[in-house]
Amino acid sequence: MQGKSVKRPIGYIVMLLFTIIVLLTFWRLGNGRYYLFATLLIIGGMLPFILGFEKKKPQAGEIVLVSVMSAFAVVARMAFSFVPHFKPLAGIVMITGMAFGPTAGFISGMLSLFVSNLAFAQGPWTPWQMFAFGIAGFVAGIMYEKKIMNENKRVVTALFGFLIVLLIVGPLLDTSTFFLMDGMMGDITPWAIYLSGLPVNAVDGAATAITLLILCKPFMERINRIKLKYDI
Amino acid sequence: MSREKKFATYNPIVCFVYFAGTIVISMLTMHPAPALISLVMAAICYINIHGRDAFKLIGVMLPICVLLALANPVFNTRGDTVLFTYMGGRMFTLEALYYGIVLAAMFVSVIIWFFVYHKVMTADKLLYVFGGLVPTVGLVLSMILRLVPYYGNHIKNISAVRKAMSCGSEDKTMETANIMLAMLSWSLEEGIVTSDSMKCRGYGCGKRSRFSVYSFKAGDILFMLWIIVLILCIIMCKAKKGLEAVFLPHINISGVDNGYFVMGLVAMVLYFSTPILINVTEAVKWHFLKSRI
Repeated sequence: MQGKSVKRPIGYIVMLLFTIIVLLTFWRLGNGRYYLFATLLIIGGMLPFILGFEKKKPQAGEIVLVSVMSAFAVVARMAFSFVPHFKPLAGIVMITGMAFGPTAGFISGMLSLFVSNLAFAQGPWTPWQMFAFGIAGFVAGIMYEKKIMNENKRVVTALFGFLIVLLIVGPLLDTSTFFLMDGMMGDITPWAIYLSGLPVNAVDGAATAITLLILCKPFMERINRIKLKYDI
Repeated sequence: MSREKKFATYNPIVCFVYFAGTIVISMLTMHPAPALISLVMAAICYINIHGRDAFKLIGVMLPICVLLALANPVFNTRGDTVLFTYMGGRMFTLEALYYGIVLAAMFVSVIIWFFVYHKVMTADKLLYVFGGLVPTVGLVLSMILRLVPYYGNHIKNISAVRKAMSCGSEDKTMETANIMLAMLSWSLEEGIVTSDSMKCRGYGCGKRSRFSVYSFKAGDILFMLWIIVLILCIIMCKAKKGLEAVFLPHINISGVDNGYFVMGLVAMVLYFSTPILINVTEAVKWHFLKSRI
């Protein structure tokens, strides 16, 4: 915790500078196409988390365990790909956030999405997905610190997992779709996109809730055992 | 085709800047000529780099392109020239169709550029680009990239052992969940061994050094200068309103009578065709060297 208040602002200053540069560029060169603009802002939004993680100088143990959990999330997505509509990635990222703290959760979500996109396809949507899943891990970490999400309160945890996907991850990805389709379908309103995305987000949220319901307790038990055994 | 194309052998930082520039330029210019050039060059580049398999993607992308172009006038009825009306007076205008074609070309070209990027910028190159800026996150990324195939193999092993001992469950979902749980305990223990090893070798004390096989050669610097000059040229033409295009309600596009337009167009053709130029020059050079030997 020591030095946290000093180190956090660096990330925000970098983000602010980044935002100003992007705004200036678009003031001169933009022509009503906001996708690139929004995507650059999203990339800027990832900077405070990345620099925060960087400044914290995490121990070898934390680095390795975050990598292990992220790789695990990617492998789980591939292993469960035979079950339709079931994506355990968000759930495992949330468990990582709960076990290793909000910042580690963000990094884990961001990177596991990036790596799993390497196996499928990168596209203009990659930064949005990285940010959305990072935020999912981050929020789960905060919730755990506030003692709302907990491995002993399985139903509440699953419910919050569902809400995070439905209200944060889903809408973020829908915003990406909105900016991507903006102008292409005439004057569509964001509400139309958000409404049409609602069922998909609900299904994804349900998949996350099921993941958390089934896997949260055994996962946390195993992680806590390791933490206790090796004193991390 | 196992030999790497010449373009892919340039320094990853230069390649990354090139692709970032390509995508930004494609997205920012809403003018028919650059959009078309970007689309054609992206397709040629992808075919050049990916070989015959590239036609699969292009075969999928072409109908999407046509569909998007035709969809725009259906949703967007602004425009002066009415081509025909349908469904009791809803207008299908030329301007909206034209706008749709340009938008679709732009959209599809960006997607294809991303596929080219995906082919050229492999994971190790990305690590080289970002590892220097954010070493810890780069380290985590490199570990994930190494662990994913490793875990994939391990899952197969666990599954084989469970089958051999006939303790596997019939239900595939439950079986996968069980395998995952076994995987987790094992991978966490393994991770601890790795982190202990890192600690013993002195991770975290002192400045970190890193190794990479890439270096800046004369060719990389030349390529970088080439990119910078062309991008500056395009930005200047854009700032001087050389690449303006208004579609709705009536079409007003800067044409060949505008000097800045011609200049911007030439710069764009050169910029987008850089990978092709490099690869073709290399192939020609190789051909002549081979015949001399």
